[in-house]
Amino acid sequence: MNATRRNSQQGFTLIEVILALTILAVSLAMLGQLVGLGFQNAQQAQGLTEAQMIAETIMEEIALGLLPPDPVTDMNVTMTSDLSTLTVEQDTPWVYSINWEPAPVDGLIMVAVQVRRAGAQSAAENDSFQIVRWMRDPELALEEIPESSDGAPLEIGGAI
Amino acid sequence: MTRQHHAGFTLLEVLLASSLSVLVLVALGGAIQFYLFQVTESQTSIEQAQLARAVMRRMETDLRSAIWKNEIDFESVEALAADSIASGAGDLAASAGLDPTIAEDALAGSNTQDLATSGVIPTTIGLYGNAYELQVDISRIPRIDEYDPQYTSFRSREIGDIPSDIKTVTYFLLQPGVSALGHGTVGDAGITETQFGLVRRELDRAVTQYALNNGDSSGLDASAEILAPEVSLVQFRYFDGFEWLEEWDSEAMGGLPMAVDVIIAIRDHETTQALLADGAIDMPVADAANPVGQVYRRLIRIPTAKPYEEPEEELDSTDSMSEDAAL
Repeated sequence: MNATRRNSQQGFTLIEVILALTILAVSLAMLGQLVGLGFQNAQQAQGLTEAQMIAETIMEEIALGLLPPDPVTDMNVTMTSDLSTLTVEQDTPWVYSINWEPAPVDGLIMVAVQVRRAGAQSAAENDSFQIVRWMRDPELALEEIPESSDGAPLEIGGAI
Repeated sequence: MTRQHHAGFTLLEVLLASSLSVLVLVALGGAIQFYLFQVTESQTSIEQAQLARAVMRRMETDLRSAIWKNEIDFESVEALAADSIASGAGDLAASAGLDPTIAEDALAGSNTQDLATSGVIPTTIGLYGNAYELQVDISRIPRIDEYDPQYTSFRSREIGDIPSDIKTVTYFLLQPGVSALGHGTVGDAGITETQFGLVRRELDRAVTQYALNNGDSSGLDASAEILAPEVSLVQFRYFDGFEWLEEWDSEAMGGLPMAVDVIIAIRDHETTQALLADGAIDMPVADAANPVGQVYRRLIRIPTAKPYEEPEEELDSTDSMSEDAAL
C-alpha cells in the first residue's frame, strides 16, 4: 500500500488540503479579529475623549440655563454645532440624551447627560459617555425667589 | 525499499512551495505595514483628542478660579471714621505726631477710592479678553514649595514670581512664522528657535501689573511657557447671561462672564514636527474660517459670575452682600 502510494506520486489528498486551508483561514480570521479589536479600541479611546468634551459642554449649557434639563433623547450634536464662525470638514456626528430624576436631597435634581456616536450599528461603535451632576431644581428656585431671606437672586443650577 | 523510493521534493515542488511562501510573506508584510499605519493614525487622533482635553482642563481650572472684586460698602466705615474723628481720634493722631488732616483723609477713605478708580491698565481684577487672547485673575492658594525663595539665574530673562494667592493668567496663540501680536520670545528659548502654539503665562498679579506699567513685555513673554505647540487655532467667546460676545472687559461689563466658550484646533503630530524642524515655510496657517487639524470646543462656566446687568442699574447693598457670599 505504502509502496504503491509513493510510486504513483499522488500528492496531497483532498482532506489534507482542506485541513490546511481551514487552519490558514482560522488563523487569518483570528489575526484579523485582533487587528479589528485594536482599531475599535483606538476609535473608542478617541471617541470617548470627544464624547466627554461634548457631554461636559452640554452639562454646562444646562447649568447656564441655555438648555432646559427636560428629558430628550437622541438629539443631534457635533463638536462645533451652533458655531457659525467655523467650517469644519470632518465633524463626527453625535447624539445626546438628557435625563433627570429627583436626587435623594430635597430641592436637587440629578441631571444625566449621555453622548453617543450617531448611527452606531454595532456594539463596538457604541462608545457612549455619561455624566451625572446634581443641581438645584430650576422650578424650586423659581418658586423661592420672592421669599428668599436676603433677596439674592438664585442662580439656575448652583452646582459647581 | 521505502528508503530508496523516498526521493524528497522535486525541483518544481521546491520552487512552487518557496514562491508560495514568498507570496504569503509579502501579503503578511503588507498587512503588518497597513496595521502599523493604522496604529499611527489612531495614535495621532487619540493624542490630538487627549491633548485637547488636557488643554481644556487647564483652562477650565484657571477659569473656574477666576475672581471678581468685592464691592465694599464704605459708607458705614466713613461714618464711623467721621464719628471717631469728631470724638477725639484726631487728637490721638495729633498727639502721635501726625497731621490731623492727613489722618482724616486716610480715615475717610478718599485715597482708597482714588486708588480704586485711577486709570492704570486694568486696575480691576477680572477677566479681559478678545476672540484670540484671554487674561484672567485667579485665586489659588500657593503650594508650600512656592514659599521657598526662588533663585533665578542672572541670564534668565524671566520675571521673578512671588508667592501669592492672586495670579494673572494669560492665554494667547503664537502662529508659526508670524511674530505678530507684539510678542517676543517665549520662555528661555534662543531667538532663532521656532516658536508657535498655545502660550500660557502665570504670574503674580502685582508683578504682572508692574511689568505692564513699565513696558517690560519681553520679560513678560519670557515668563510664559508654550503649553502645546500643536494648537493651531484658539478662539474665545464670552456669554454674559443673555448673548455671546466677542470680547470681554470686566471693568466695562462690571463682572465676570457667565461662561467662556473655548475653541481650539490641534495639528497632528507630523505637521507639528515638520514645523518644528524647518520652520513655517509652506505650511497652511489656520484662520478662523479654515482651521488646521481637529477642532474641539468646550464651554466653561464660571460659577461665581452673575448675569450682566445694565450699568444704569444701581447695585443695592443686598447684591453686594451676595457677591461677598459668592466669593
